[in-house]
Amino acid sequence: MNGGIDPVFYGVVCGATLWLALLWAGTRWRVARRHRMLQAGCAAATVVLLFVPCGGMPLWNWAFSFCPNPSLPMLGMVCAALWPRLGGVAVFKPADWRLLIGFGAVTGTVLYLHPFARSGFDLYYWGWHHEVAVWTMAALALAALAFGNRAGVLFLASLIAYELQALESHNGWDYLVDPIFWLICLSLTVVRGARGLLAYRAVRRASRSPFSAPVVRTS
Amino acid sequence: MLKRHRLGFIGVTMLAAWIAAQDSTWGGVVAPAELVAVPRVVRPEAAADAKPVFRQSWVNPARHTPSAHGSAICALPGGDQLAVWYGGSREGAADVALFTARLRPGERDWSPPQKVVDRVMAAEELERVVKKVGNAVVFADRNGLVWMVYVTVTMGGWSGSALNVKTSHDEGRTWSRSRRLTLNPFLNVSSLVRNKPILTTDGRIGLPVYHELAIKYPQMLWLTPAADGTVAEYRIRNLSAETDLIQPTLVPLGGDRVLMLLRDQSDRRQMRAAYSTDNGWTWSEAAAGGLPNPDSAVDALRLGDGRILLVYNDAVRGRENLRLAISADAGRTWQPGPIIESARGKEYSYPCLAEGRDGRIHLTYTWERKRIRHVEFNLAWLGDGSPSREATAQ
Repeated sequence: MNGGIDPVFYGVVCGATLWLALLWAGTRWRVARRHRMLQAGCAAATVVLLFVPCGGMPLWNWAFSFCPNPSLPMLGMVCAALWPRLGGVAVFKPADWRLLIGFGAVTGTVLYLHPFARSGFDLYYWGWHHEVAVWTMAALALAALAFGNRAGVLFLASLIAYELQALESHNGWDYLVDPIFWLICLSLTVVRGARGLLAYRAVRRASRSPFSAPVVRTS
Repeated sequence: MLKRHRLGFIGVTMLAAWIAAQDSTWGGVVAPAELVAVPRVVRPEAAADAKPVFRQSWVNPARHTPSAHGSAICALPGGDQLAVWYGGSREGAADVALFTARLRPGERDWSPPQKVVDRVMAAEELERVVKKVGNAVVFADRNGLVWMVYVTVTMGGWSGSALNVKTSHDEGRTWSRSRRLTLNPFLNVSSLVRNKPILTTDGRIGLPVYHELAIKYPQMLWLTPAADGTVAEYRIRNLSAETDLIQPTLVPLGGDRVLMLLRDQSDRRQMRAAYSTDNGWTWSEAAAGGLPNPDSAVDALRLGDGRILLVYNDAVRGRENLRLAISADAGRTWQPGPIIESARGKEYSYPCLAEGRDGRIHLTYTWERKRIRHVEFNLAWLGDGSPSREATAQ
């Protein structure tokens, strides 16, 4: 870690995510939802799990060894996916999910795969421009919020986290997208696309006439 | 809830963006100022040193570690030479550590190796998993602060490397805790270092680095030191649209011009050269420079008389020899010089050059993957070297 607030941020994020995951697991096992004892027990288990030494370092260090810069949209997505199973309240509407997943799939594909084109264009380099990063995040947040899309809150959170340098990275793009977020979004996009294609083909097949068209003979 | 508070969120977004845009603590991404001229504080007796001098010694003692590789050397402001290398049971092993040793002016023997960091220390300092440590480079900035940038691997092979920084306020005797640099969007893997940087008058350090995961290309890391000796900020830029070129080495040519020489991993097996006319910010396409390159590291140095000294493996395959070459036309053509090492079936590689305050040239390199060899010579010896002559120890 590089000092500043990033260790605290990482600890809080890790703890909150793990706590939610434990609560979700508890509800899956038919333990009463909103049970105070369950919530307290999971919180205690979270703290213990995070600091269990494994290979000479706490467990949460392992997570951040392999994913050192978790993006804010990914963290938001995880929390938004877990919360309905706990509180029974859906945080995101379908449109919010569509925007978030589409954003992750497209930006990740462009950011991680564009070096293969060897065109000389260096997108990651533009993430070092403070103004470019700030106004990109602000524009994303404003556009989403203007259309009533809740994913905008996550872009706003990215902007605030970037300004506070909450992650180890100082590149603006790392606050918006990370490889795990990208792979999740890409997988969901592919699955949804495949399902859509199959549904479309099924509809077309069903709409076809069961009889062949009459042959018109011309003399 | 969002519908009710939409205007509030929009207001907060605009306020956050406005505050962030006003924040002046973030540096811009602008081209560097002119390069720092290489200080040449040559002692009178050395300047009058017309007698050829050529000495060989060992940086690390025999049997210090079974394997030693990847040395780098730099001239310290106090006059010492500081070398760094990694050693252990074998390259990439868990017991590999980075060691330093110093050579005082006028002395022939290097100090005993001092362990700087191994994977356990790096893991503790970086607060993350470290599988192994690798290449390192040491250099002094214009304020006398000594920097070490080194490679650690968390997952995979060398292409899974990340870069870390240590600094020293006492010329490499003690080092700060390591700091991780985030240089790659994909899990911050595949940033490696090999050669020394250029320094600019605005305080920035232009360190040549390279990327190895999936595609291989050179990059430039611009470090801005803080007043307290830490990294204030850093930026990385891709340099060439060409691939299979790694381990760039930089040579300031005077004025705004910089020469870059590159290790060639393509089938062409030719050392490449690129030029910058804006202090290393933008670069020409890398062209073949007429010398072979058997997929091995090279290093170069601008001499006091303006010529460029190169050390390289003079072969298309294998690293069985190590040779010097001189260019009097900024790296466009090269005159082969003395052979430093040559033995069939052996390896002499990863050379690193530095010029001492007394004007003598210091060269370190991997000797048969077992030890780090040091060679010291002066311009009189170099001027006397004919292409076919093999170096003989004094």
